[in-house]
Order: sequence, then C-alpha cells, then structure tokens
Amino acid sequence: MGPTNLHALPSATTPLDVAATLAGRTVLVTGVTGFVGKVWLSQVLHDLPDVGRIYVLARPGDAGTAAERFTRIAERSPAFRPLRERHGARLGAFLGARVEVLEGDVSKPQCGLDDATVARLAPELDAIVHFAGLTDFDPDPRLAFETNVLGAAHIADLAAATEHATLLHCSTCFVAGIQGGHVSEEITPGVSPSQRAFDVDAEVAALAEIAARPGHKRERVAAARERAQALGWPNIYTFTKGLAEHLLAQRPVELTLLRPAIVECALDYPFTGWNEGINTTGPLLWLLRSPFRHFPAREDVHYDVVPVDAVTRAATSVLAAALEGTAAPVYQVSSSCSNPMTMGRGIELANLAIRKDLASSKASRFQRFVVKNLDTVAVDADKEHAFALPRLQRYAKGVQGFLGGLDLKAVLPPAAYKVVGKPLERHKDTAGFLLEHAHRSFGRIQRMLDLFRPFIHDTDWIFVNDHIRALDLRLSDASRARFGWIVDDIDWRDYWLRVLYPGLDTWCMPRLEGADIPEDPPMSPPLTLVTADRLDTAAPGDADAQLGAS
Amino acid sequence: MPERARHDKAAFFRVEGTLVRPAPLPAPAYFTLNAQRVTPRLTRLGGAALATGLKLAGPFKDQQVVHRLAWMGLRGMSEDRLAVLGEEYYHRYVLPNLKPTGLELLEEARRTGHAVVLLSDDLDVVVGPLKDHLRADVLLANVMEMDHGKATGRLREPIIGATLSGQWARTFAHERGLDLARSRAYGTYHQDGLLLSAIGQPCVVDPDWRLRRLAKDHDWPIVQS
Repeated sequence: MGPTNLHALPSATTPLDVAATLAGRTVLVTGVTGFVGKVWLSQVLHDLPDVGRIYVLARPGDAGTAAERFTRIAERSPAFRPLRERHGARLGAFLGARVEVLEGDVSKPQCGLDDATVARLAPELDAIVHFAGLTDFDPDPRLAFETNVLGAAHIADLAAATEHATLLHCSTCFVAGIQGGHVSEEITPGVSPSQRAFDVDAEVAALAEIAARPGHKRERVAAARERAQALGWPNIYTFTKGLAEHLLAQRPVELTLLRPAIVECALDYPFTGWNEGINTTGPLLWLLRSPFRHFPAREDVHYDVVPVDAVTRAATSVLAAALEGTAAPVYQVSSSCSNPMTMGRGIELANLAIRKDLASSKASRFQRFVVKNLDTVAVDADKEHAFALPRLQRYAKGVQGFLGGLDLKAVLPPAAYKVVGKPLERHKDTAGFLLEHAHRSFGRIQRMLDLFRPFIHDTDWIFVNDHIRALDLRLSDASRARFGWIVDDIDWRDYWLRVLYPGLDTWCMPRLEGADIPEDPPMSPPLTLVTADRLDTAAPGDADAQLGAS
Repeated sequence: MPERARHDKAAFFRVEGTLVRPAPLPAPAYFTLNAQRVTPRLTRLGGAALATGLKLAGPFKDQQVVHRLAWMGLRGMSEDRLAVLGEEYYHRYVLPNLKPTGLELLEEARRTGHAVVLLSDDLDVVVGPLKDHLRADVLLANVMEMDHGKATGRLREPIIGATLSGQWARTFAHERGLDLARSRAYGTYHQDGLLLSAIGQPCVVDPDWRLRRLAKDHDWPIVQS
C-alpha cells in the first residue's frame, strides 16, 4: 500500500488560513523546555506574532523559578535565535506581551496550578498543546508514569475544566507497538498493539503500583517492561505514551493526537541542523563512527525520520484545524509512507557522511583508515558473526583471563625475565586494563543496541500520514509556505549529508562524549520578560509600541 | 531549447584527454575500490582492471564492451555512494587535471559563438560538475542504470562510448539545428577519429600516435601543449 490519493479524501472546501485562525487565540503549552516544544513556541512567536496570549506551563529549575528558566531559554537557546535576531533588545517586551509563564508540573493534580489560576484560565483558554513527555527508551517507570501517563491525565483534567479548550497531545508513532506493517491513523481505546482488549484504568493502576514500588530502579524497569511487552509495546517509553493515548481517548475532551516519528535535526527553523538532547539517530551515528563495524540492523526496515521543524509546522496547522473544528482525531507526522527511507540506506548515508567528515577533520590516521576502508554493514542480530558484540566481549574476557593467569616469571627463563620481565609486566597490566575497559564498553554498547533493536531490526513500521498530507492540501498558499508539509520533498541524501550528520556532530555528539553543548552568548542587556502586570495595555501590538517608545 | 535559439554551430570537446589529463586511477577502479563491502572490492576490481587493459591495448572492435565491463563492477552499489564517490573523484582527479590548453580552446570556441558540447565516457556523477565549472552548454556523459536505489552495473542508453560515430554527430546536430560544417570538434585519442571526421573543423589536442597519423593524413590542425 502506497500513499493514498489525497484528492480523493473528503475535506472542507474553504482553505485553512493558519494565521487568521490562531490570531488572538489563547493557548497553554507544556514541554517548552524540551526539544520539540521549544522549537514550536519559537516558531509560532516568529511566524504568528498576532497569536493571543500563550501560557507556558513549566516547572521551576534547580536554580530559579519557572519564569527564570523560560527566560534563560529565550535568551540562550539556539531555538530562539531567530526571535533574538528579529527583535534584539526588544525581545523582552515582545515576549512579555504574548507569553506568561505559569509555574506548574504536569505530574501533579491540576498540573500544579492553584484553583484561582485554573479559574482564570477556564474561560480564556482556546487550546492546550501538550508537548511535555519523557522520551528515554528505558527510563525509571516512576518518572515515565508521572510524566507521560499522569501528565496526560492531568492535562486532560485541565482541558475538561476549561469552557471550550481543545487539546492537542503530542504522542509518538511508535505507540503502534510491536505490530509492524502499515500503521493507520486511528486509536481504538482499550485495544493494545497486540490486539488484546485491556482495561485502561486497571492498566494505569497496575503501572502506578509498579512505579510506587520502593527499591532499586532495575526491578521496577523489569516489571514495567514485562507488562509493556505483554500488551505489545516494546519498551517503557512507548508503553507509557500508548497508555496516555488510551487514557485521553476516554476523557470528555476535544482531543487531537499528533504522533511524530523519529524527530531529528531542523531543516530550516530555527536554522539548518539544529538539534537538542540525545535523540535516536545520535547514538546510532556515534556507534557507526566508532571502529565497531557490524551493526545489528535489518537493511529493509523503514527508518522514519522527520525534521523537528516539519513536526512543529504540522503541530501548528493541526492546531489551527482543531480550533476550526475540522481536525482528524490522529495525525501521524512521518516519512515512511510517502517518502520512505530504509535502515540500510541510513547506514550507507551515515558511512558516507562519516567518510566526508573524517576526510577533512582531525581524525587519527587509524580512524580514517578504518572508516574509509571498512564501512559499517548491517548484520542479522540473531546470528553471531565473527565480530558480533557478544563474541567480542567473550574474546576480551578470555584474553584478559589468560593474561591474568600468566605468570611471566614462571614462563620466561630467569635471564630473559631479568632483562624484559619488568616492561612486559607493565604491558601485561596495561593490556589487562584495556581489555577490561573494552569488555565493559562492549557491554554498554550491547545494552544500547538492545534498546534500539525493536526500531532498527525487529519491526518494520510504515506509518500512514494521509491526514497531515490532506491537511496540507487544505492550507491557503500563505499558510502552506510557513506551515505546509515539507517531508515529502526531502532528498534524504542531502538531508543526511548536509543537515543531519553535521547537526548531530555539533549538537549531539559532544554530549554523548560527556562534553557540554554551548549555549548562545547572553544578551546585553540581559533579557527580562516584561510581564503583563507591568504594562497598561492588554493588546500585544500596543504593548510593543509602549515598550518600544520607552 | 535555449541552445537552438542561441547557436547554430557547436564545438565538441572530448573531456578525456582534451580537457582533462588522464588520472592515475580510472573512475571505475576508484568506485570499485571504495565499495561498501570488502569482498566486491576485491572480486570486481578484476573487471575494471581488465577493461582498462583492453582500452589501453588499443583497437578493440567494440569499445562499448570495454565500457560495459568497466562499469559492471559497480553492480549493487547504492546511488548515494555513487554520488558521493563521484564528487570525491571529481575533486581529486578531474578538477586538478584540467588542461590549460584545452581550456583556452574552449574559451575561444565560446568567444566565436559556438555552443560548447562536452562529451565524456565517464559517469555523469563524475563529470557532471564540469558543465557548470566550464560554463558548457551541453554535457553528454553516461548514466548508470538504477534499480531501487542500487546500480545494476549497466549503463543507460545511449551509451557515450570512447568511440562516437559520424552518424551520432549528424543526429545530434539535426536534433539541435546545428550546422556541422561550421562546427568544431576536439579530440585526443584515435577513437575520436570518427567524430572528428564528421565535423567541419576538426582539431586534435595532444593526440596519441594513431590520431596524429590520421590528423596528418587529413591535414587537421594539431595542438600540442
């Protein structure tokens, strides 16, 4: 099954004007400290300055209030660079006129907001955009439950408490679970990916019980993973995100689900290549860049990557459709259906990107030789090849054991030991240390690959994306230029070589190697949000004018 | 076509030899040596070596066989790898080996109002950037046939072989409204003889001994750099 003929799909006849639909609307957004949420907010403020009030729900940071945390993001995060470039010293006024930071926490009832705030928001809110979520593949179930499941439930409660707010919930395509093939854009509450009927509330209660268990994280992880796999979800991340969808579908709220696939480096906004945190492709590229040459993956499995700005554009157009009342229940923001790329091609492009990079960089001669002459190849994870990780681990352990038991004094003739014994003992110790290190590294890599295995080896998903493509056809020309669907036009070779690899090399690899990612330099004078209570006027334009004049 | 509107005469330049000095490592061998897996590198290099040998050994009846043999080793190579290796090869072996004499002739042809037509028996991914670099009007090079993003090892028709016939030149000129009698052609190897014979103003550049003999017989100008 290929992409659907979108012209055959029923759709509203009038073009959707995103800017006009969102003008003057009041939106509450969560997850602005995360990758997608940050880009979405920045882009909305950049491209839709006529949007009404935006409430940013954020937790306080380690060293300050939620407002201070948000201000730091606006001042230092590369995601806000286009806004800083546009507004310069007046950014504080611009943001202050549109953004209000609410200190809260989605894992708490009422999202940590007091009754008065909820009462204030209730008549005002037009939409809630919920990006907050924990995206680690194998987190502590306690954290995953609180953020992904309880967070969604509390957001739904907040939406229900408002007079008319619609809820846009950011999920993931991978809630499809271990059931591969074409994944349609729908949800059947109470039916798990393994097609088993299950009681959503009972499952939430069971996970809550696991999350509340005292003791070591490992036991909670094992129990939650077992539960996830029994229902057809490969890991705790997809389990909790899936459970959240089922939970939300039962709530009396106007709900639209946005399911991005693997979100990676930006095509254009905030600028080409930007990425944040450790996403899926970063660790895989890091591995492909190491001397490790046999990669357990299936070449024909689809690798579904979408740039972050494609996701944020989609989120905004879907939000406009939801506000207009014409949104579909589920939108999958994916590439595997309409512009597919396979894992085999991903590995090949990674090899080529690394080859180009190492040809011009600081890599050692050995590294250049290995990478240039021995490309990484995909191998069957179930077969133990000569260089398969478990085997390498055994080799390392075996040689280490042999060296440990080797008594050079007994083996070498006394005269020879007198001459070369000491340096040999030193080399033996060094080799033993290196082998121990290698053994541990192989173990870590194996555990990492086990986490990725469902996505690169075991299951082949093709996420249908008809709804977002149909919505794209409905957009007015001006809206399509800023919020249209761009994924089908991506040339993957260009994206991997020019955008993804350099982007990950700059924004992700250093973090994997334990280094810090540089923020943008602080603004001078420092950014200060000019909050609404410091202004006489309510209208954003007037506020700008007032502050500009002062 | 813009060329038809602007030009009624052309200057045909054989890229290999006339504009670019021969590289120490032929493109098929470079591609084969940089295949993703080690085994095809070793097994298929034989084909590329044999083709190079046959090409150098001289008059082989059907040069297309040599071509097919040379590029056959790329069977199974991804389109992505072809593009990246082509770019590498261009920067490593094509660009640094441009011949000043050839470039002067090309510039002169452009000055005299000839459409510049580059002919190459290499792959488009290798010589493609030359078109922009030399501001040529047309580049004719070979294109690898692809199947689901992998090279089949066969060249797509029409194959631009080492030997281009007079018939080919006449068809090309007819399609583009060019007057062959007022056109020019530049070649270096004896295989270019047929093409040069079909064009009104042939010229040989650093010719091999066979083409030099032919040029002398026909009284064609010889440019030696």
